[in-house]
Amino acid sequence: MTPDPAIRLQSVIHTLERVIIPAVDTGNLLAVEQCGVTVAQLRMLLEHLPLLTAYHGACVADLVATAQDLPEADGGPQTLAAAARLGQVLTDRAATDDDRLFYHRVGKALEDLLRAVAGDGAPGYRRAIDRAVLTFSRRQSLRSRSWFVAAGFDPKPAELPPVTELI
Amino acid sequence: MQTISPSPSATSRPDHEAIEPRLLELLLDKQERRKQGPYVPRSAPEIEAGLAELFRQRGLNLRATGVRRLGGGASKEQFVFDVEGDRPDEFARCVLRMDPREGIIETCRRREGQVLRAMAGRAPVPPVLCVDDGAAMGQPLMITGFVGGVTKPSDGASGPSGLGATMGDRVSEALTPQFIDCLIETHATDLATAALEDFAMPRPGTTDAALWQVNYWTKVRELEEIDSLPLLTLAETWLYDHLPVCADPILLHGDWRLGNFLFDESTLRITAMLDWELTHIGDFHEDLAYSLEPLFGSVQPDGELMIGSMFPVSRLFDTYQAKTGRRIDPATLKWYQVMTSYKLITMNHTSSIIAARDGTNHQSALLGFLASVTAGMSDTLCNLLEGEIG
Repeated sequence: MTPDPAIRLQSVIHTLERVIIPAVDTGNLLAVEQCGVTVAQLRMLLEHLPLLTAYHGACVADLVATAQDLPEADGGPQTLAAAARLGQVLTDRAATDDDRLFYHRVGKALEDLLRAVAGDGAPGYRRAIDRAVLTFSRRQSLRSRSWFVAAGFDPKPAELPPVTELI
Repeated sequence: MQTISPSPSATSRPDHEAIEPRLLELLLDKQERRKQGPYVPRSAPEIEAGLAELFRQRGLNLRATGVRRLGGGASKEQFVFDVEGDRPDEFARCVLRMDPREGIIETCRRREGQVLRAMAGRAPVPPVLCVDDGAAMGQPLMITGFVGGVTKPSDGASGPSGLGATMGDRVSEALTPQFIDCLIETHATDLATAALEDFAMPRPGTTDAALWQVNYWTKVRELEEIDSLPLLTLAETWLYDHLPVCADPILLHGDWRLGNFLFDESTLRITAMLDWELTHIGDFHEDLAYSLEPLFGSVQPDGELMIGSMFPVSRLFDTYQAKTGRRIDPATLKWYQVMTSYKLITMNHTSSIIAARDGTNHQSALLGFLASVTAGMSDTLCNLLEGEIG
C-alpha cells in the first residue's frame, strides 16, 4: 500500500522537472518537446489516478444502460443477428471484471448493430438505435472533454463541469 | 493518373472497396512494417550518413553538413541541413522530411513531391530536390529546399502542430487574402497537365470523390481501431447514406489550416504552404469544410468561429465564391464537415494510439497526448449529426 501510487508518480514528475529536463540539450528540439508533453501527460495522469475506477465505471454503466434500453429488434436477418449478439455480450458481464474492456466489448457489439440496421433494419428501429447512440455519445463526449480538459485542446473549456460531477 | 474500376458487385449499393490504389498499398505495407517493432529516432550523424548514401545512389555531387532536427509537426521526422556541391542556390539549405515507422497518418512522399512540383510557381511552396521510397535510408523521404518563416508570431502562444496559435489583428489582416488565394490557386490546378501519377481521379458527376474518402478512413479503422467509439460508426453509416455527387473533381490541399503555412514576420508575406501529404483529388467543399473544424481556429466570445484564428467563415465563403464562380451547396458542405470529423477522429483514435502504444514513432509521448483531442472532436461530430439523425 505504501508508497501511494500518486506519490510515486509525483516523485517522477519532480525528478523530471528539477533534474532531468534541465539537463536536456536545449538544441535537441525533439527531446525538449517530448519532455513538455511527458510532464503534461504525467500531471494529467496524477489527476486521473484517484478517479480512474469511477470514470471507467460511469462510462460503462451509461453504455450498458443505453444498450439495455434499446427497443426490441425489428428488421431483417442482419439486424436480428446483431441485436442477439449485443444481448449476449450484455449478459456476459461476468466474462471480465475490467470495466474498460467490457465497455469496448459492448461498444463493438453496438457498432455491429448500427451497421446491421443500416443494412436491413426497419426504418423506425433504425431511427431509435441511431438516436440512442447519438444521445449516449453526447453524454460520453462531455465526460471525455471534462476528463481531458487539462490537455488544453478543448475549444470551450469554460463550459465544462468538473469531471467529478459527471461520474 | 491511376484508375479504380467499379466492383462488379457494386450495383445499387456503394462499392466499399473503392480506395485509391496507392493509398491502400501504403496502408497495407504499414501493417507489415509494424512487425519490425519499436522505432528509435535517428541521430544527426545517422542522417548525415544516410544522406551521403542517397546522394551517391542518385549520382548527385552533394554533401550534407550541419544536420539538425526540426521541431514541431506531429507526423514526419524532419531535419534541416546545409548542402555543399553542385546545386542551385535554392538548395543551399534543405529540409529532409522522412516517414517514421508509423505515424498518425500514412501518406506518400511521391505524391507529396508530385503535388509540390505541380504547384511550383503558382503558390509559395518549397522546391523539391528528390523523393525516395526508402532505398537509401530505410524509410520513404522527400528533400526540399529550406524556406524561412514562422507558423505563428514569435511572441504568440501555440500548442502542438500549430494548434491554438494566436495571430493578432495586424498579422491576420495581412495573411488572410494570401492564405485564401493559396487555396484558390490549388483548386485551379490543371489536372490534365499536372504530373500526378500516383493520384486517382474520381469520375466527374458521380459519388466517387465522397465514397473514396469514407472507404479509406473506414479501412483505417478496420485495420487499426483498438477501442470502440460507437459515434464513429454512426457517422460512417450516415456518410454512406448521404454520399454527395461531385460534378467537377479538383486538386485539394487536404490539410489547409493554421500551422501548415510559413510567413515572414517582417514583410507579412506567406513564404510557403506546407504539409501537402493529405492532398488528393476531390470535391472543393472538402477543403472548405476542413477549415471549419473548431480545433483549427478559435471561437470568439460571441461564439463566432474564426478560421485559422484569423478570419470569419463568411470572409472565406464570400471570397471563395466570388473568385472561383463556384457555389457552395450547404448539404454537400455539411456532408464534408461530418467527413472531416470522421477523418480527424479516426486518425487520432486509431493510428495515433497504436503508434503511441507500440513506440513505432519518434514522438510517442506526443501522439499519446494528442489522442485526447478526440473528446472535443466528438462533441463537434455530435453537433453535426444532431438534426440529421432520427
